[in-house]
Amino acid sequence: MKKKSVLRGLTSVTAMIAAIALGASVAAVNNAPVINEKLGFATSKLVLKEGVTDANGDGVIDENDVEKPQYFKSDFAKDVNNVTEEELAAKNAAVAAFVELEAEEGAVLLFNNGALPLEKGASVTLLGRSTVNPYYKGSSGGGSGGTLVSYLEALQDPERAGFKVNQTVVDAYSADSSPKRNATARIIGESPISVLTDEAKASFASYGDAAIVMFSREGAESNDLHTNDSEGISQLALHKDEKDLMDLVQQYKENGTFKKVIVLINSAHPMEVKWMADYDVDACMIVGGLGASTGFRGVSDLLVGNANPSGRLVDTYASNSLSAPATQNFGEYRYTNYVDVAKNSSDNANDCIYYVAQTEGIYVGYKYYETRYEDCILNRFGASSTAGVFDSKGAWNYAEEMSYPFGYGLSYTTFEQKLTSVTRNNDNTTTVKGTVKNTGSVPGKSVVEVYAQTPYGDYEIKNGVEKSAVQLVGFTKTDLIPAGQTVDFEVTFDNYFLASYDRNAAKTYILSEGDYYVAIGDNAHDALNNILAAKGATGLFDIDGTAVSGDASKTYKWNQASLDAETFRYSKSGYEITNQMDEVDLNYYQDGLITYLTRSDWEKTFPVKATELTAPANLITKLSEDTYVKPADAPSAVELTLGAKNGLTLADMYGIPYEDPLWNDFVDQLTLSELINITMDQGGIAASVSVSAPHSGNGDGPDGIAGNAYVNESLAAATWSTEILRQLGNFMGEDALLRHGPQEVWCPGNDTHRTPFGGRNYEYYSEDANLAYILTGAECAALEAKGVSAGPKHFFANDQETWRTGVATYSNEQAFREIQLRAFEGAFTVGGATSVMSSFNRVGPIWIGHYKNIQDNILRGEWGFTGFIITDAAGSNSYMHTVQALASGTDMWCYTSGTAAENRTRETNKAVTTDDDGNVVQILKEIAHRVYYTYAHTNMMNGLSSLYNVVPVTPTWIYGVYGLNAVLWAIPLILAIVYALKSKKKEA
Amino acid sequence: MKNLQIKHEKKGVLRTILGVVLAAGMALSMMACGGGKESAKTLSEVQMMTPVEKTTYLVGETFDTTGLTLVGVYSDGSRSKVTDFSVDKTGPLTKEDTAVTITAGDFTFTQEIKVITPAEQVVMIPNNGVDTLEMFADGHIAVVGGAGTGSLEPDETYWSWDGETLRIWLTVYTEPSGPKEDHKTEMELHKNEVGDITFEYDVRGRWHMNYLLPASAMEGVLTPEARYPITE
Repeated sequence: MKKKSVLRGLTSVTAMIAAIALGASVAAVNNAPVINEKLGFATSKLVLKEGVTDANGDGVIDENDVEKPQYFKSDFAKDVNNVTEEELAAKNAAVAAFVELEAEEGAVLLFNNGALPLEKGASVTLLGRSTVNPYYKGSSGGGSGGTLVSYLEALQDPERAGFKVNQTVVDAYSADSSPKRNATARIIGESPISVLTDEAKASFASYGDAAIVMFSREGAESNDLHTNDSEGISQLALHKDEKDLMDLVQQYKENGTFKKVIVLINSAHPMEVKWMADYDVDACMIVGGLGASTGFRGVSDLLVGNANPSGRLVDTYASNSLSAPATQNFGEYRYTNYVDVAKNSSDNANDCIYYVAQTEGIYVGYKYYETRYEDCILNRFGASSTAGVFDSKGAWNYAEEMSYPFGYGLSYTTFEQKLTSVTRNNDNTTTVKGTVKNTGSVPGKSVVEVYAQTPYGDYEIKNGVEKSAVQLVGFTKTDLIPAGQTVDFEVTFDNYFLASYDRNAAKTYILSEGDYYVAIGDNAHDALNNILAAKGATGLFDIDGTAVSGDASKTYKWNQASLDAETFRYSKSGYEITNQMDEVDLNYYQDGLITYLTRSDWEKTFPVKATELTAPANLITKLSEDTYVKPADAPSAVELTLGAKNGLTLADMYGIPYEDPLWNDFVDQLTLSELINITMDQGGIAASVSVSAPHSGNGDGPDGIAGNAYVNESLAAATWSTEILRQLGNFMGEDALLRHGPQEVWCPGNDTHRTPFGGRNYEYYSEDANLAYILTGAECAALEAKGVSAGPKHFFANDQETWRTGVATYSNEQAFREIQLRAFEGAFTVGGATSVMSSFNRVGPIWIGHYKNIQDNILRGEWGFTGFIITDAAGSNSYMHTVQALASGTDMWCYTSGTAAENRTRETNKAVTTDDDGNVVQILKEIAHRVYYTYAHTNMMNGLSSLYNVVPVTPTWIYGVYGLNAVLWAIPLILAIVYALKSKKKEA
Repeated sequence: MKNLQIKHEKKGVLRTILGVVLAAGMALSMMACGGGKESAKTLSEVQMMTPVEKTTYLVGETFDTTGLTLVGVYSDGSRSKVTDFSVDKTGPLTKEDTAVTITAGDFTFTQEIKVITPAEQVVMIPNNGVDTLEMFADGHIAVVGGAGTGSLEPDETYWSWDGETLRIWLTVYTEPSGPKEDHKTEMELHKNEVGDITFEYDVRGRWHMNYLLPASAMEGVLTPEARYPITE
């Protein structure tokens, strides 16, 4: 009886296990493409064609008779088709060292009374829960693998700071079980002060050389930071537990226990820092998001002076993080008549009822604060009103609203920069030359920042052309300058950066009539003061309100006699630049729906509250419009050539120019089924047997694409070094090259830090478009040179995560062109990026993947882009209409497998067969042209020969899954049979 | 995505040779009669340009050729639609039917199909914009999508409809690959003004996502008469 019960129980348990395994197996097989990509399982293989000859004469016809090309070479591997473990290790060691360098060059020293650098081997107390739970990167794709060094390990590393760390305090934080920092739940996660028991406090005395306090903030994919959290304050403000800690630190500083207090800000988001003035903090450094890698080693080096800080802020550090005009319209807003919007749309309601009105126009980040400052100094346009006051006492006051301006950053040494010449070249560029002297006592690197001011006069006011008082146009970073020595610098910038987009009158870029100023400065505010000095303005003051006079000798001025609407009417690719985005402006649908901030009237136009919006009928129509109709001249689908036998393989196509008609012969070989498969990304696209194209790999993301992690992109940007960004692209390219993939990557991140709260600011460069333009050019060019198709994301205006899927982002053409689009532009026009990932959001009411004017006219036309456009993770998103998108310039659906792929395939087939629409087939053929032209110039081609056929294979793990299920089901089956036999025997 | 395996098979070599000989003879005789100024085109191959729209059937349904487009490719390079074809399965489909053979003259194609029971049928697919949850008629739920989330335990991830109330249970994770916080956690479902159902769920404990089940997806499915899960 007992044995029988055991048998029955075993049967039941094993059957349950088998059932669970079966469920898991079904889900796994459903997700097979993603699993294959993540685990590196091949879905196709190369098989030698018949007729291969014994080329090497060894009497055997095999792989060795095929010449395997190395179109893209490695700095680490002799033969990229046969990489050794030693070569891989050497590359990874170089990456680890590079990440350390990124951290060293990106850290920004905010203030320092001489406390830094600390002595090597000092006895320190590390405070703040980040000591044991540092922020590495936000939650999103990519940026994993390689060497991970924690904050604690790095600071105790004897080759670096070698600190003796107060372990009692470390243990106290480790034992804390209160909720940890959580970007998804938007929890700050600082430990309550109670974790620092009397025993912990007593330990301070033995580790009092310095108290190093580290605070962190963290964003995440699909989660913005809160502008008003559970404590009723912005997530970037100092919170209660942090304040309690600082009060305690202050107490022990005052009683002499802590000789120095150092604060580190471990965040990619500009945390408010003005509170430090209330405490006796000796030095503060922004160390940023250090990545899941070796970045903290760089922090360790910086703290003891093995490295000298040389980073500069890429974002404005406002006194109050809510004070930017953009923040007034950031988050969740529904149309007042959202029920009407939803009912009139075939899209899911959540994909069409949310919006954000970017009333700030071009006044993002420093462009707001510095422009308003100038107008205050010049006492005009109502700048000194109370509109937009957050921390000012009375009228708006720059010094009271500002902590640290864009471009700010100190060093352990000091520098003196001089401007010696500005030359306006004949090729629409300007060259700025000067010198930098290290006036301090230790070697250091200096960033030379070049800004410009362009005229804002009657024409601009009348036609709504907005101008920032200063805008970055160029920069350079010196090499290490020994103490006391002087070096020359030279910066050449594109005059395109001096042009403004006039959306109302000229409908193209203009060079305004009037006075132009170019200035160097230690930061945006310093440069503006230099310009104001040149203009003869008085009453200037520095960031802390100290009166200054500016330095006119650091400026250069010229006059443009009349408005020029021709020089930049045509892009470098020869494409005429004119309005393409009238529909993004709410006033296009009804006058007065949106009021943009204009510097001509600060008081009346500063957005003191969020824009409330009732969608008019014509806007509701636009929100759900499906524009695709078969053209009258569309050919018959049936009569178009498909599946031709032209004998071309992908291996034959390397180096074939995009315009070469041979591409037509190549594409003609593909079947319709293959053409449609090309549009479905599943971590890459499936192999195309007809053209012997292997399956491809597409990968994520800005912080690392193939087995190594790098610092957050915003920290890399804070290096203000095109050389660092070039090396970043080079190393990521090597990562992919040596692993034979991915071939296309969703990086870098090129959206804008429109507000400090953007959930993914960590993987975007900056609040400034021109800084992003220049840096992304360097990074993308390096990636492409290693055979990786750089695919900047998320194109574009994906500056908030809240309701990112389908949120309508309204602005105007000047702002979009000069802010959001400009940040992407350099990736293509300078960096030659050959792919791009579009965004989830709508641009205006139109999802970007449907916006033909932008994808085909701006991206492909104005910027000369020849690669492919992949969506963000599309799946079954209802507002992404399959055929409409393909007809509007979209080429590939990201992460679209299983049912989603079947549905999109069905919709595409139906568009072809209904009314025999050959236009859809022609679109698909052009997509195949773009996609394979792109892959044909990536690392996929290394080792690929036309002597191979491509054969689809089932990954081995799937056989394993089948086998495992068979075994798991066999066990309960056998047990059940035994049980049945025993029961029968017993009955007998 | 379902794999379509299409096999081209020429049947009857003798018949083909005979056809070619006859065609050649016909051409010669036409030329002799003065009617052969243009050589007659011959059918080189038949291609399946688009497959049938429907590849999954419930037991008892019949094969539907809607969407199927066969194209004849001729010796002169011209192409035209082939409408004269037949299928080998015309009656009610059973679980044992896994493929249908389509024949057009000498060319045959194999169209894989899947015949399922109602309990294998996906009823609704809420999504978060990236990932989907496939809700099957037997009550289990599969997680599919870009997050690469893998599977959730079927005995802890399920749904029900009693004619009035929809309920969904998912496995909650505290960290990406870490321990489950709780088994059989019921989602808090909200119905908005337009009838959509939404709920929040941390995919793999990592991505905080808003899932949406559109009103249109529930229309005609979650009726007062319907009951889920269906037990066979």
